[in-house]
This record gives sequence, structure tokens and C-alpha cells, in this order.
Amino acid sequence: MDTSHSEAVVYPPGEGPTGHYSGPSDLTTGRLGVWALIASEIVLFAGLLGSFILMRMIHPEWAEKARELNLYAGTLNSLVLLISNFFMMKASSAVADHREDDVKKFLSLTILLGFFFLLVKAYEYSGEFKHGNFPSSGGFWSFYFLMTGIHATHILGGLVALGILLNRAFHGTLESTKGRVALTGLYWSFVEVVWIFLFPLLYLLA
Amino acid sequence: MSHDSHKQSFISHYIFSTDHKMIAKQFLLLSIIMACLGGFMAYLIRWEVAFPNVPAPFFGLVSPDKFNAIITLHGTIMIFFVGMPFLAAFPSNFFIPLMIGARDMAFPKLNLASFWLTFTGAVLLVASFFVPGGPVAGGWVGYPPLSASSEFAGVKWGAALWILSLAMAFFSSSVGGLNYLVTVISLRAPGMTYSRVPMTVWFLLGSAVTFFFSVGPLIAGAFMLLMDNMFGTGFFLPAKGGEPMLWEHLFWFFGHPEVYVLFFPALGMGLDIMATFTRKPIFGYKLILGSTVGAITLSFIVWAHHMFLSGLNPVLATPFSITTILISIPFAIIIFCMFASLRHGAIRMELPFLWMVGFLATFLVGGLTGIFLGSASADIYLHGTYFVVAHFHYTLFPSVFFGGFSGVYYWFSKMYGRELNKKLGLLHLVLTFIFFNGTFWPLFRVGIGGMIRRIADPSFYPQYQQFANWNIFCTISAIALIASQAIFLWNIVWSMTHGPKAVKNPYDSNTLEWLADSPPPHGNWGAKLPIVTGDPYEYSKPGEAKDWRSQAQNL
Repeated sequence: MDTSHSEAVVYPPGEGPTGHYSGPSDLTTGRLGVWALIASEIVLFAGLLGSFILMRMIHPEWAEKARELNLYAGTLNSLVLLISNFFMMKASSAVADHREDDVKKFLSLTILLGFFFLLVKAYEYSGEFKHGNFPSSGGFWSFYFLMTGIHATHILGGLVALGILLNRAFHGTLESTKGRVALTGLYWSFVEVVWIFLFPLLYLLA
Repeated sequence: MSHDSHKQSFISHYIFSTDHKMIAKQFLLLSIIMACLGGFMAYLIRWEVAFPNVPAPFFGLVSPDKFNAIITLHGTIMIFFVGMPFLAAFPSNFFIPLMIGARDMAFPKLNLASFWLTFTGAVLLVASFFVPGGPVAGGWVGYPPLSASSEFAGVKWGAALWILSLAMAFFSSSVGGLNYLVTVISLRAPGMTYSRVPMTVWFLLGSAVTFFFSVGPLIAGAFMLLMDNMFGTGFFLPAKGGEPMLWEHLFWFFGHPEVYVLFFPALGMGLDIMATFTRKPIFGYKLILGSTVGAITLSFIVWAHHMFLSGLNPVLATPFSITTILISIPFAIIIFCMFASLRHGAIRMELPFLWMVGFLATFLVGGLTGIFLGSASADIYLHGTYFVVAHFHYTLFPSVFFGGFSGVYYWFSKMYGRELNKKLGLLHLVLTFIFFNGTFWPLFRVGIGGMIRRIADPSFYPQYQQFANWNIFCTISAIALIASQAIFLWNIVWSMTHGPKAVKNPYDSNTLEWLADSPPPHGNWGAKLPIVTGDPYEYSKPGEAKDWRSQAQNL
């Protein structure tokens, strides 16, 4: 059934049976799907961040807890994600230009940095556990672990998608689904943007 | 293109199917099974209220703790595992691709995942009956602190399973909504411009989008509630610095739009049915769509009217009262458009039309009583009483059952290739209408009289003795209402195999689904797609021999 929709657009723009019909949509279904996914994620994180901001306003004393966070690790991670996104963009343009070796190289770098982000996060978590800060240690820590945990889950999901693409790239089967590289890149930037909200709210508002 | 030679194994055809029509039927079957379960719980609730401390036949004594669990699960099951699959997922899956002239959904595998997520959620919910501590008993709204810690409710695993089950239902509906949205945007047949999209599709889309943009915060809230229960956090526990009101905000930010998620599909199907059986165009196609956009927008800023009793800042009550009462304006416009559509129509009193009129008549009562509850001063007296129970059953029951059944009676022949028995359908309608009103109309009276909802044993309170006879009347009606649904079950099971073979377009309707075979084959259309050249509601056009004209002429 893969090709069944291709015949949906049988009229060139402006020449449909009605005279003004130019195909159902200029966007591919994949791109629309990822944008819809991002829209729903925005609402989820809006609920999460909105709740945190409200609670943070009621509890100014949470600033004390925020100071206990590892600001260096957080800053490093912000940079790591930013650079990872840079390589993701390079991978997308390499796909567009059919530079297969570059695709493999940049996808691998993106994934490596993604894993590095998670490693730093795990290091941070273990440090916080050592200082006796657990999810159950009060409101700030509950929010901190929940928000960074959900964000890390999104990183993990992105890594799975990137891993599948890289595997295809190494087996030379990426060509038929190469559009997915740009779509994954879209998602990857969204995960980056979420971190850009999380980082100042959690680490810098001390 | 090999639609005809598409051979599938039993499993890929009936179980892990990616065909939108099979997935729709799976949703329909699941919702019917869950409705039996939810209906049985409704019987137990009504039995205990009318005959306190008398063991209920087929169950036994409904003790207060069981009563709490049963009202919780009745609500959860009926909203998320009956309403959502029956009214949103089933018609969206079946009719969106058919009505826009597509061969399937944009993401068939995601569609498959959507069904199995709901299925998993239903299994988790049923599993919660059997875990130590029993199922969750904190009300379907899950208010903390009661729901947030096993110390208060005595339920740990039941609560966790309940939250996970809801999460599955949320993910399923979100994934489904994403699919419907992309499908409508990108898979419309040639010529199917936005102004030619039938109302059913528009309203199913409105329902999906409303769900999509309201559920996110509650998913965040569900994670918090799960952590409160499982990992000892205190998001919603005042003792640990948390805020129970936060949950109420997150819940009702979703909860109010959810009512419209369940109302819109019924309205959309009702409009299509109305055009077909009045043989004239819908009055105010664009006005209705504009009003719907207005209603959706307003539905996101009314949620706190569910919280007038919760300790909400009284200053906030007034703006939320105002937005709530404002929202009746777009709905009034839609209803007036529907009445105007009836005017001068050549009405055919067929079964789907009668069900749709039943939906309108009963829903109006629910809508109008909502205006009382939207006003904070009246709500503070009425909110804790059976008035609210009557009100929301008058909104949700008509949407899900009258609206849903009108759709099933309208399209059954398209779905299964055979006709339903019309006499049984009429009997089903008459009995459902009488006993539905018999069950819930007296509850308005009981509620205004001051009887508090959510109590197991009214005989414990001498002031409620005056309502004992009313409660018995309601309970008998409720049992008859539930029993009447057996007619429907018998009718679909018998008609599926023994009903007379259906023709392609029994009602002379314009929309595209009637051009497909009954039932439509895999891929819906033969070798070529329909090319749309007309509006969906071109009925009784002056100067034309027939009083209808199909949207596509090339099939």
C-alpha cells in the first residue's frame, strides 16, 4: 500500500477539476506527522514547566536547592546538545547531497554526543543521590528528577531513531527512507529546545 | 497496486491489522465489551443507592468501599474505554479515509499501535480488580491527596495500574489524533477541497485536535501522580509541600475539553445524517465550523468552573463563570443552524434520523442545565449533589449512545454489507429514550432537593428518606435501560450474518463513503480514486432530476 497515495495528486497545481485545487498539501505526511508530534509535546512540556513555574513562585526557598545542582555539568550538557544538533544538521545536508560517508560520520557524532549527554546526566544524578537528594526529598527535587527524566527519555527515544538510521546507512539501505534523517533532525532540535527551557529554569534560577 | 490480490493471514487481517476499517471494528468491539462492564457497574451503583445494604443480584453486597471503587471505575471505563473508542476512534478510523476519498490512514502502523495501546490500557484497568488492595477508589477525577498516597486510600497497585491505564488511553488517543489530522490534511482525494469536506470529518478532526491540545498537561500530571504513589514524591501532597489544587487544574484543563471531544463526533455525524434525511443542504456550513472553532477556543479557558468548591480564589470564579456562560453562544448558533436545516426539508423519518433527533432532544437538557452549573453562585449549592450527576449524564449519554448509535444505524450496512433490522432498531430507540429519561430526569429533582452524590448508603441520612421512592424509580429505569441494550447487541450480531444484503447507497446520500462497496474492500476504492466535483450537501438542487448528486462522478 506504500504507493497507493501517490496517485492522489493527479492534477498539476491550479488545474484540478475545480480550477483551484492544487493537491492536498505541500508538506509530506512525515513532516506533518513530526510537526503534529512536536505540537503535542509542546503541550505536555507546557503543562510540566507551567506547573514548575507556579510552584517555584510559591516557594522562593527552592533557590537554595537549585544552588546544589551541578551547574558545570548542566552547562556542559547544554553545549553537548547544541553541538550534537549541529552535527545532526550536517547529517541532513549530507543526505541531501548524497555524501554517504559524511552521513555516517555526522550521524555517528550526533549519536555519540547524545550518549555523552546521558552519561553526564547519570553522573549528575549519582552526585545528587550521594548528597541525599532523591525524588522524594521535597518539591524541587521531585520536579527536577521528573523534568530531566522525561527529557532524558526523549533523548533516548531520539537515539533509538538515530541508531536505526545509522544502521541503515551502514547497510546502504538509507536511500529509500532518507527523508527520515531530516525528520529525526526536526525532533532532535525540539529536544534541544526543551533543554534550553529546562536549563535556566532549573540551574540558573538560583 | 494490488488491492484485489492482497492475501492476508488470519492474524494480520483480524488482529494486527493495519487496515483502517478493521481497526475501527476492533475499537467498536472493545468499546462494546467495556460498555457491558461499565453498564454492569452502573447497575451496581444504582442498586446500592435504591436498596442500601441489600445484596445485588449477580454480585452480592455493594459495601461502601466497593461502592467507591465501582463509581471510580464506572467513570473511567465509560469515558476512556467506551466514549473515546466508540465515539472518537471507531468513526474516525472508519469514516475519515472513506469520506475524504483516501485508501487508508496516513500512518497505518501508528493506527495499529493506537488500538493496541487502548487495548493494553483496558487490560491494565481490568487487571487492577485482582491486585492486592483492590482497584483504585478515589473517584474518576482522582483528586489528591486521596489518590496520591496509599496511606490514605489503602490502594497502591490499583492506583498505579489505574494511572498507567489512563496513560495508555491518552497515548492511544493522541497518536490517533495525530493520524487523523495528517490524514485529513494530506490524503484528501483530488478535488476534495476543505470546503467540500463533510461535517463528520470536520467534527472528528475538531474532536481529535481538542483532545490533542488539552491532554498534554494531564499526561504531565499523571506522571506526577504516579511518582507520588510509587516513589514517595509530594507533588500533590500538602504534607510534603505539594499542592493538591495543581492536579485539579491539570485534570480539568483536560476534563472540560474532553466533554467536547465526546460531543463533537456525535454532532458531526448528526449533521451528515440530518442533511441526508432532510434532503437539503446544511444551513450555515461555514457558520457552524466558525462557531466550533470558537467553542474549542473557549473550552480551554473554562476549566475552573469544575472547581468552584475546591478552594479556588473566589476572585477567579467570576471570569470562569463568564467564559462558561459565553460558550453557550457558539453552541446555540450550531443548534439553531441545525433547526434551520430542518426547515422546509423533505424529512425521511428513518432510524438514524430519529436517533439523531433523540440525541438533540436529550443533549439540550444537558446543555441547558450546564448554564446553571456554570454560574458560581448556583454551582456552590448544586455541585455536590445529584444535579451534577444528572447534568453530565444528560451531556455524555446522549453524545456517546444516542449520537453513537445514530452513526451505527446509519453506516452499519456500509460496515458489514448487511442491513440492521429496523423494527428492532426502533424498539431499541423508544426504550432507550424512555428509560434514559426515567433514570436521570428525577435526579435533577433529587439533586435540587439536596441529596449528595458519591454516598453509598442514603438510608444512613434521615434527610434523604424523602427521596427513597425516587431512587427506586431511577434504579428500575436504569436496569431497564441497560437491559434494552440487549436488543441492540442481538440486532448487530444477528444482522451481521443474517441481515438482508445491503446496496451501496441505501439513503441516496452524496458523501464519498457511499460510492465504495459495502463493505469496502482493502484499499477502499478500486483501481482509481474518486475525483470530487461537488459539495457534500447538494440535495434537492432546483432544476435537477434527482434530489441528490454524489460528490464524485467518476466511479
